Amino acid sequence: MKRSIRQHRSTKWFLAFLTPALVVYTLFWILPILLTGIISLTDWKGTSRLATASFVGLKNFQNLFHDSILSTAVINNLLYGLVMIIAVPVMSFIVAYTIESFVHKKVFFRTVAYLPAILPGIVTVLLWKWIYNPSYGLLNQFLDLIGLDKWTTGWITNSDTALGAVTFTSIWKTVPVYFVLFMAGLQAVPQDLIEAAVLDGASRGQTILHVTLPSIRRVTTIVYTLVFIDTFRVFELVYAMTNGGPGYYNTEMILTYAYKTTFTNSNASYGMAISMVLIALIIVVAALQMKLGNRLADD
Amino acid sequence: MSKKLFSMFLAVVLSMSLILCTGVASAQSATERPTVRVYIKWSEAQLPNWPALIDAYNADATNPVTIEANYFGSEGYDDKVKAELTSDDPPEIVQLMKTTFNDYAANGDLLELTDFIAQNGWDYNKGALAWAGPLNNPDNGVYGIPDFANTSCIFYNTKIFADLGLEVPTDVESLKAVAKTLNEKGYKAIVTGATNWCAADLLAKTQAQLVGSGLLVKAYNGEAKYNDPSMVQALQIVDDLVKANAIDPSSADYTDDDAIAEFVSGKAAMYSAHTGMATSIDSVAAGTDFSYNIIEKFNFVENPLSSVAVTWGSMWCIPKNVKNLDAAKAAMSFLWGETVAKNDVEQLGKIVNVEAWNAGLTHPVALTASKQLAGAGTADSFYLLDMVSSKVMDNLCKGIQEMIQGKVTPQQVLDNTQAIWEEESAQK
Repeated sequence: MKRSIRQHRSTKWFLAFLTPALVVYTLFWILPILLTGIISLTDWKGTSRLATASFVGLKNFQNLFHDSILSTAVINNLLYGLVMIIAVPVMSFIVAYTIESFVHKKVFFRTVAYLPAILPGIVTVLLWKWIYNPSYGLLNQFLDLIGLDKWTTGWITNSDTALGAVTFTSIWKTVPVYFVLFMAGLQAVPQDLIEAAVLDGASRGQTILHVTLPSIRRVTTIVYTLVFIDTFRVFELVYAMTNGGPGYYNTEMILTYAYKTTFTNSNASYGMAISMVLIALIIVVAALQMKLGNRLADD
Repeated sequence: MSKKLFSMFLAVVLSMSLILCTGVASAQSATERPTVRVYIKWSEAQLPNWPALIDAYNADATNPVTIEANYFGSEGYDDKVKAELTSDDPPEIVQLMKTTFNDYAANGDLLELTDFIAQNGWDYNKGALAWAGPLNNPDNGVYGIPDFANTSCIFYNTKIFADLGLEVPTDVESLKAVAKTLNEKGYKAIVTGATNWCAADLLAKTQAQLVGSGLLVKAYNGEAKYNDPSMVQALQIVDDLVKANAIDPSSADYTDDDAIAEFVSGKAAMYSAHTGMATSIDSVAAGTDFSYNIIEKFNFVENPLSSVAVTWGSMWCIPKNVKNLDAAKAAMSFLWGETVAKNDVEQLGKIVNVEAWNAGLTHPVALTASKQLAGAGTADSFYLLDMVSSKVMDNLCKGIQEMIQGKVTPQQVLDNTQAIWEEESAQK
């Protein structure tokens, strides 16, 4: 009897604590997603009242297969994502490991390495636009200085270099976010395991490979999942830096295209169909990734 | 007991004073002038004379409304207007750019203004009003007040031309010759901001002279194709100028700001844009001895259909579902009436669409442009190239940028634009 009262009380407390978060989550996440799903089944353009829209079934979703700009955006997003998913976790781990190995000034280097993460997105964009500027940009001036003036170009306005330049900026901005996670993971690695490996004659590389990395598997899984989600959520950096250009959509991403379709091109229902597919894709792949990662970590 | 009585007395006094205050407030609001919200896409810096004019208007108690100007400065403006126009209480006056204006006019969201213009006695340029409605506009309805008239032009540095003893070019051949001399002397000939609208502006210049407005109107109504051979020919002229280095290929990497910086710094002798950009050039060149003008007459083809492409910057409209229509009209009568328009002419050097109000022009660019307009401000000379959806326009600009980079041909640019247009029509 006492146990059931205690259980009842704890359930009440559980609900009391959970409800505010659940309400906020439902209002600002679940409902907008549901509304997006409903609108994607209509012909609403976004320039008239929603009540005037008609139901068109899956027409917007069928149109996705005949959209040449969307195909380009998907390819760009995959290329960008591939580089990010390879570079960001590796570089984050290297930065975290290097700083953790320092004996002196560790706090100072942690702070410096974390600085790009605390810069507002728009400041990052302005900074890098200035660096990449074709006339007075720092990068071109540096190339001039070292005799590589043939390489100077408008880095984000040249169709050949824009995607690379945007990706590089994104890596610069993202690595500090994840190196903190790796750093936390590294601090939790049992020191005696590393010492035992060293005593057994393991080199630094062997210690990292066989002791450190297996010990931070869960962190690695989380980092990979978050980087994956981030690659498909990339928006403000591209929108403010290149607006999807230069030339034929050389840096257009799925989300920037969905935004433009919804708001700039006045085709809200179609833009929301793009967003719905993206949401579904992220949920499915992230769930698979987490499941696989957890299984590996348990092993 | 006395405490209870005192508290009751206090409550009654407070309630009475509250009722009295409310009564006074409502009496005041009954005599207050209605406020008219004006949504402006430009920043205050682009209309620096307006705040003082509006303050003076508001200070005069005999005026029927109070004008509340909201300067948005472009960022997020279109989204804001879209949300406001679908609400129950939209702003009384909104500034719309060409592409969005067409959508709203076609949807029937805007008030028809022919009678309003007639009541005000404004003698508007017929050419400007010819395109003040959706492209499929059989009744020639006027759904917005077109603001300042611009001509698509080529600016040139008068000092460089004088120092090198160069004649101002008047056709493609003389331009190529001038460009060759300039290149030999270490100058870029023409620069432009090809990463955005300036790219399409290059085509507008040649299209207006070679193709005219008829084909575009047909294309907009689905009776012709954008990649018509005559359009390809018009873009081919631009491509030839790029290949001859008359339009410097570095333009492909430039925004407007970059191109203006090159022009004002003297690295480039000419800058292709429209006359509205004179304000930006002046602000960059402030405090220097930089002097410039626009080429008054330039023929891209023999026997051009129009001597120059003419455009207006934006449309000023009253939403159809506005709550206080009389107030909106009163504010519009002031903002686009003679006093403000003449002040714009004198203070900002803008050319307005009522010829009689342009007497106060002094800026050399405006004076030359008004000469151009005198012979070309007709419906046929109108700059229609950008009256397509944002998506199609964006594709055209991107294509021309790629063409300047030497990656695609004029035919491919226009084929691609037509394909995107058809794709978009199917989506909608």
